[in-house]
Amino acid sequence: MTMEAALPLENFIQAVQSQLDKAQTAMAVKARNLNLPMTFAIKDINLDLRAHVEFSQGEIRIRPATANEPDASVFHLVFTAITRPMIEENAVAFTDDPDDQAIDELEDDLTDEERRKLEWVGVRTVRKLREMDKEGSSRVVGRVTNLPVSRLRRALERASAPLVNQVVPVSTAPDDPPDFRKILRVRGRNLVRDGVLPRVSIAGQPASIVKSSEHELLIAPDANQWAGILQVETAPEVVTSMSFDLTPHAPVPIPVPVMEGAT
Amino acid sequence: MNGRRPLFETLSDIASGLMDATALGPVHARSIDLNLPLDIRLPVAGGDLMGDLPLFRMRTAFDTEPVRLHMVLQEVLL
Repeated sequence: MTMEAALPLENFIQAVQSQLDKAQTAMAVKARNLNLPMTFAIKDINLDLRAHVEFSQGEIRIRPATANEPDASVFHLVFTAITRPMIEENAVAFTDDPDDQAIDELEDDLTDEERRKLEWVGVRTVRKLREMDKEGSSRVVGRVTNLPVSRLRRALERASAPLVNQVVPVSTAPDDPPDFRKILRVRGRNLVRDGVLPRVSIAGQPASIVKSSEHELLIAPDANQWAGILQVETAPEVVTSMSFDLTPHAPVPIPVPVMEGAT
Repeated sequence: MNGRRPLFETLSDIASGLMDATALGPVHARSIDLNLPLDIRLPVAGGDLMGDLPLFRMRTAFDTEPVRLHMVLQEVLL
């Protein structure tokens, strides 16, 4: 047998779990196909693995030991079947918000190892890192992970930059009055910073904000603001822009009635 | 191709054999406790974790040590 490459320990555990799930499914499928009322389910599995432990790039890696390596470490892994309520009770909520940015999105600023170190201390999302920075915990995180605070802040600053993904018209209801002001929906991220409304302009003119959140703005554009460059400025010199053209959705100008005798 | 099976196939084959053996007889097995040696091979590029019964009784110095697997299977209603 050739020397095996080392594998991250967590990948090995996930691989075993995946195999147990597949074995369980295969047994249930067989019992159903044979119309058996019962099947066997895996209750407990213990694995004793002799392996060498390596630590590289912030990861614990294992390499199974060969027969002439008596000094290898022994991993005694115990797996047990748990019910769905137990999973839900014990699972760590990595991110509740589907729009939340994973810490992996900081790959331009932080190396794989640095991001892994942040995950070790429980920082899995950009939001969590931002919260810790606001609470003044950046220095502690920096000390534990050996990351300079200035680099953490720079990465955070870049991740906190606003971004516009989509500009779409809000559909109107059939019973809306003809002069009902049409609205634009702007989707993206970091569109509101520290609860302060951003400055929005379209085609160089300020636009009114009807509603705002971190991921969405509702804009009431003027008749001449249904095309052009949309700019969202969440802080001085922190701007994002996007070009759009929604002229076909622009409201039809309502003719102003001419009063008799008016000049 | 080394003819070795993924771990799930080995486990489900063993359990399946035991199901067949105990499903129709007058004596009914309600739980099974197994202690097996397994040759494992770490997954490569997202593939399966290979785990099968050892091919040979004697091992060379180059062979990895077999993993000891202790498994308890319990009968459940479908």
